[in-house]
Amino acid sequence: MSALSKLNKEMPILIVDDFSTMRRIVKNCLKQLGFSNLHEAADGQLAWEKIQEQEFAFIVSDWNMPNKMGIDLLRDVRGDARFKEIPFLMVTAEAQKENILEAAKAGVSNYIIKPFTADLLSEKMEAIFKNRVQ
Amino acid sequence: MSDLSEKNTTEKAVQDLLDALGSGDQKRIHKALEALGLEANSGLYHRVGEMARSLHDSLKDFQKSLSPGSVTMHSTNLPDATSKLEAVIDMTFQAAETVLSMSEQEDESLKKAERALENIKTKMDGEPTIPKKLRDAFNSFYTEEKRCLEHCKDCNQKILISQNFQDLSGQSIKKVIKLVTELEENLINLLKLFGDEETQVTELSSLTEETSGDALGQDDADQILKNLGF
Repeated sequence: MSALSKLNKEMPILIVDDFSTMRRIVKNCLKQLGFSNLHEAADGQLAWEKIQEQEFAFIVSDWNMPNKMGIDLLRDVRGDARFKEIPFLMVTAEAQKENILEAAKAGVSNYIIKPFTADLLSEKMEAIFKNRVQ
Repeated sequence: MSDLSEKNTTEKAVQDLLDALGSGDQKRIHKALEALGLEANSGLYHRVGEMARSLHDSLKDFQKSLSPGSVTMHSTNLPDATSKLEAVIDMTFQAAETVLSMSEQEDESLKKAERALENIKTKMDGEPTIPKKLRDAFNSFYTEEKRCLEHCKDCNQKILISQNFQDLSGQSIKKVIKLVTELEENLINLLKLFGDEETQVTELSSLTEETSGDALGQDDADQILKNLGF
């Protein structure tokens, strides 16, 4: 049985991207995977405010955003004991090795380079949650 | 003058120029430029001028080459190539949003059809009096329809996901806009530093503010092609 199928489909997920089309696409992908409790934030700062107001079980974030970049949001999340265990998936056009290493160093759970497919999102989520649901 | 002292003199002159640029004092800048042998009528000035003009002409050509048949572009007086590119971002964004909306509606319709099919299947399975021949025919129909619906849902999902190209193309175009704008501005600034004739600067600066007029509609384009024998 896959890790994804074992997950609570009502778990709150935060999608962070300054580009509304991208948020909509990720949202649709997650819906296809059965998740229904989906929330959105248009940049890192708004996401950080939401994270402090509400509990999230998973964060999917872009890298390049105004106000607060995805990498800074990741650092904030990992730097706060209340949120540091939240799985964090970076979905970004930043495909340089340095970016990936920087994200890994900051504690990203996995990394997707745009453009992506629904299968890839599913695969990365499976990898993230595999060790958590056992 | 030895090589070393010439090097020191040049370094000092460059440092003086940097200090002058930092101060913003035009007289000091010109004096520092002259010390470096870079006068307004130097070959470098003319070369930079040529580059600025060439870049500007390229931008105008690029502007002309962009989608003359688009209704949105035809109805709006877009002032320069940068605005045209921003319009491209906007139009592709709108197109992607439309595709997403249609795709979401389509997905709902497919799910509805799937639910209806499952309802009929449940009713058929719960009705023992239905002749075997009819039941077999329905089961074949059910299997085929189920396969078709899954295929449609899969295609629909791929259409939806493929719209993420818009984010990437938008980001790339924004980078090009920034680069081109900075390049043209920097060339103009260089000319301002070298040029002591105010008219030269005014003339070159005004190049960046020119517009090339309205974009052509499809009819205009057809007419031009016709006139050219195409």
